[in-house]
Amino acid sequence: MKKIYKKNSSLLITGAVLTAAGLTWWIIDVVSGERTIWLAILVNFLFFLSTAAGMCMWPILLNLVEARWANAIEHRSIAALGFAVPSLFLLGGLWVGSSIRDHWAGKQFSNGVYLNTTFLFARDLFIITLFWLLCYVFIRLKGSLKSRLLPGFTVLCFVTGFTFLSIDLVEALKFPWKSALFGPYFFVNALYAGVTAWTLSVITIAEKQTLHTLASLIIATSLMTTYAFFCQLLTIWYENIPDETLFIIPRFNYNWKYLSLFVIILLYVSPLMLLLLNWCRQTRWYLGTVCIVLLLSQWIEVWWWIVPGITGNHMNWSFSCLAAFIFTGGLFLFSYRIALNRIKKTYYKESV
Amino acid sequence: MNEPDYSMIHEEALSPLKIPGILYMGIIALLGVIVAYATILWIVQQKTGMEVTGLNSPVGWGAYIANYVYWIAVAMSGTFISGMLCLVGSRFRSSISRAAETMTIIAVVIAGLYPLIHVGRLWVVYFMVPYPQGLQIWPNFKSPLVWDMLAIFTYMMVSWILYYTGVIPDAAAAWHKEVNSIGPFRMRTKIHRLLALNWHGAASQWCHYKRSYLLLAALATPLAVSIHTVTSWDYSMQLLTGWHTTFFAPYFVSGAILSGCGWTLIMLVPLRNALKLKNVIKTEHLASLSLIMIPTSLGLAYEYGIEPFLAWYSGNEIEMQYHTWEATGNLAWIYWSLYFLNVAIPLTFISGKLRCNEWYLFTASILVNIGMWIERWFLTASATSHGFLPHSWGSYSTSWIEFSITAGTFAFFVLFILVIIRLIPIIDIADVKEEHYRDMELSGKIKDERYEFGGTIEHVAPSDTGVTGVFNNVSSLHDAISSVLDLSYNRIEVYSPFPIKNVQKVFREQTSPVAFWTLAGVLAGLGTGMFIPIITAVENNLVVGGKSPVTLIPYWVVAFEAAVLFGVGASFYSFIRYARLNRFEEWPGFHSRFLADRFGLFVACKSNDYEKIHQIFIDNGCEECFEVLSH
Repeated sequence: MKKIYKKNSSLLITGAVLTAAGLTWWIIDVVSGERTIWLAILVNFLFFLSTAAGMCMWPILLNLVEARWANAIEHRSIAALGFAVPSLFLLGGLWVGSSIRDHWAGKQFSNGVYLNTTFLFARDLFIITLFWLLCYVFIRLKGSLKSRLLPGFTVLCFVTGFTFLSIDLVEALKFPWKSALFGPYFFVNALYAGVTAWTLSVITIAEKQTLHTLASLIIATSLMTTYAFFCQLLTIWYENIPDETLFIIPRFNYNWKYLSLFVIILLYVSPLMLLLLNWCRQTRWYLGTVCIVLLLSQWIEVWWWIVPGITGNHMNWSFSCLAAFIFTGGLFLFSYRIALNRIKKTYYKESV
Repeated sequence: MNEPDYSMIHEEALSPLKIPGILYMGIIALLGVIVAYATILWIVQQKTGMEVTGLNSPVGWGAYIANYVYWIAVAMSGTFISGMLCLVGSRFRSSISRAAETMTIIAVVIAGLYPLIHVGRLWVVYFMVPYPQGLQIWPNFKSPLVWDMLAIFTYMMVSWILYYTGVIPDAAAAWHKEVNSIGPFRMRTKIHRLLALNWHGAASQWCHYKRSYLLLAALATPLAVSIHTVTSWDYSMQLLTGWHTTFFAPYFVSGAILSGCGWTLIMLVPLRNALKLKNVIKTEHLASLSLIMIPTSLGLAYEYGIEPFLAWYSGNEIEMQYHTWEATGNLAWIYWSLYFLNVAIPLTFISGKLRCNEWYLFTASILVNIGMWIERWFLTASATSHGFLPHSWGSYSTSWIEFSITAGTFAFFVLFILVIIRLIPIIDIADVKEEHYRDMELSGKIKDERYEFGGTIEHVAPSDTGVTGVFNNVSSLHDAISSVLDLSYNRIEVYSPFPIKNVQKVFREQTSPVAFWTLAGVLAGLGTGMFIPIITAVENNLVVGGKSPVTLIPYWVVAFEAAVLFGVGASFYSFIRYARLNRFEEWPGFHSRFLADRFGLFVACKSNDYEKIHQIFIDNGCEECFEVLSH
C-alpha cells in the first residue's frame, strides 16, 4: 500500500511540477508577445484531448462487443477521463485567445454563421462536455449495464463530435479546404493514440497475452489511419483541384516534405514492421519503447495538421510549443493520476 | 467426459451432398431458363449495339456499372466477413464463413462479367489489359481502370484460394464418406477425391493448414477492403460533383459489408431450414451477423449526412445545387428511400426480438439489398445526368434489356449457390467441430489440462510400421500421446477431424516455414508491383493529367495488389508443399474415421514393441487398436 502511495505521489508531483513549469514558461511567452502561443496550445489541446478520448473509448468499445480480455486493465484506460475538466478549461482558454490569434480573427467567410467564433467554441464546448458526461455515466453504471444502448450512444457521440471538432479546429484553419474523410481520419487517429497510451500505461502490469492483443490493436488502428490518410491523399493528388490541394501542397513541398516523410514512415508504416513478430508484441521494454515513439510521432502529426496551414512554407518552430507541451502534458499526468485513484476504488468495489 | 457428438455434426453437414429432389431440379431448371434468356439478350445487344440500352449522352454509365459495383460489393464482403472474423477469433464464424466465401467466389465472377457487357464491343475487350503491345495503347498504371482490372484479377485468385484452402479438409471428409456409401467410381466421389488432394487430417498437416489459413485471412482482409476502395476510385477520381469526394472509399466499403451481410442472411435462412442445419447454423449466429450491419449502416448514414453538410459548409454553389437537386429533384423519392432501406431497416436490428426472428432478418436483408442496388444505380446515373452546366443535364432510364440481363445475373448467382451446396458442404465442418469442442472447454464440461508434452517429434514416412490407436475423445488422446512420448517413442502422427490446440503445440516445435515463404512472396510482389509501373512509365514517357510519367503515389495501389497476390500464392504453394498434399501417398496408420468423429494416434515402432504400445493405448482409454504393417 505504501509503495502504491509513493508511486501515486511521485506521478502527481511530476504532473504538478510540469504543469507549473510549462504554465510559467508559457505566460512569459504571452507577455513577451510571442505570436505562436495560442497555436501551440491548440496543437497540445488536440493531441491530449484525442489521446484521452481515445483511451476512454476503448473500454466502451470493448463493452459494446462484449470482449472481456481487458477487464483487469480497463481502469488504466478509462482514468483518462480525469482530463475532462482540464480539457474544458483549455478549450475555454482557446476561446478567450481566439481574438488575438492569427487565423479566424477579423475574417468573414461565406457561411459566417457557422464559423462565427462564439458559435464555434460554444458548440465544441458542448460536444466535449456531452462526450465526457457520457463516459462518466458509463463508468458509474458499468457494473449494472444490461443494454448496449449507452455505450452505443457514446460511440455515436464520439464519432459525430470528433468530426465536428476536426472541421472546427483543423479544417477551418485553412477554409475553404474541406475533406469528408478528414473526420474519420481524425477520430480513428484518436483511437490509435488512445490504444498506444493505454498500452504504455499497462506495460509493466499486463499479462503477455494482453500486451500481444494491445499491440495487435495498435497495428489495426495504425492500418486504419494509414488507409484514411492514403485515400484522402490519393483522391486530392489525382484531381489537383486548387481548393483541395490547399492541404497537400504545403505539407509535401518545401521543408515540410521531410516531416511528412517522417510522419508517414513512423506513424503509418512502422507499427506493422516493428510489431510484426510475436516477440515484439510481448517484450515489455521493446513494446514500451515503440509506444513512446508512436506517441511522440502522433504529437508531431497533430502539429503537422495545424501549423503548415497557418505558417505556409516555413517550418515556424518556436519554444512556445514545447512550453505548451510541458504544461498540457503535466496537466494530463496530474489529472490522470487523480482519476486513476478514484476509478480504482470503483473497480475494486465492483470486483468485491 | 461429455464431448460433443462429432458424428452428428459430420452427418448433418454432409447430408446435403446427395442427389436432390424434384422441387430442387425444378428451381434449377427455372433459373437456367432465366440465365439462358439473359444470355440471348446479351447476344442481341452485341449484334444490335448499345442503343438497346438506355445509355446516351450525358449518361454513359448506367445499370451495368451499377451492377458491377453491386456485385463487387457482395464479393468483397464475403471474404471480408470470413477473414475478419477469423482474425478476431469470432466464435460464430465457423457456421457462416463457408456461405460467405461461396457467395464471394461467384459474385466476383459476375462482377467481372459486367465490364464486358458494358463495353459493348466484346471482341476488343483485351485492350483493357495493361500489356506492352503494338496498338499504341500505352499501359497507364495511374489509371483507376487499370487498378480495377488488377484488383479484380487479384481478388478473384485470392478469394478462390481462400475458399479452396478451407474446402480441402471437408472434401477429404466427403470423399471418404462417399467411398463407403456410394462407391469410389461415382462422379461426386471423384470430384471430392480431386479436391481433397492428399489430406488426411494429420497433425503435421493441420500445423501448416492453420498457419497458412491465418496468413491467407490476414492478406485477404485488406485486399477485400482494397478492391472496393479501388472501385470507389473509378468514381471519385473523376471531376464530377457527386462523385469526387475523399470519403467514397470507406463509404463503398461500409455499403459492401452491409449488402454482403444481408446476402449471407438471405442465403442462410432458407438453407438452414431446407437442409436441416439448424443445429449447426443457430439463430444466435444469424443475430450476431445482423449486428455487424448496424455500424455499417451508420457508416452509410455518416456519408449521407457529411456530403451535403460539407457542400453547405464550403459554400460551393455547384455542390450545393447538386445536393439540393438530389433531395428535391425528380429522383428525390429514390434519394429518401435510401435512408429508409439502408439506414432505418438495419437499425431495427438493435431490437433483440427482431434480431432473433430469422424470417424478419431474411425480409429485412432483402430490403437492404434492394436499397443497396438502388443506391448504386442512383450514384451511377445521377451525377452524370446533373453535371456542372445546365445545358448538359439529361436523364437516364434503364431499358428492359438492361433489367433482363440484371435479372439473369441474379438468377445465375442463385443457380450457382444451389448447385454448389450439393457439391461442397455449406458449413466449414472442421471449424464447427473445433468450435463445439472449444465451447465445451469454455463451459467447463471438458477439462482443459493444458498438457505439456516433452520431446521432439519426428515425421513419419509412408513405409513406417507401427500401431494405431483409435480414441473417441481428445483427453484420452492427450494421455496416450503423453505416455508414448515419455517412453521416447517420438516418431508419431496424430490424426483428427479438427486441429487440436495442445497437439499443435508439439508439432509447431518444428516451426512452419509457411510464414517465411508468405513474407518472401509479399516482398517479391511489392518489388514487382513497383518495378513494372516504373519501367513502363520510363519506357512510354507518358504524361497524363499533368503528372510526371513516374509518380510513386498511385503505384502503391499496384504494388499492394501484387504483394497480396504473390504472398497468397506463396502461402498456398508452401502449404501444399509442406503438408505433402501434392504427393498422393499412403499415410501410415490412417483410417477414414479420423476425418469424421474419431482421433488416431500412430506410433512408429518395430514389431517387438507392438504389445507394449498396445497396452499403453488400452491403459489410456483407447477404443480400438490396429497394427500397421509395411506397405
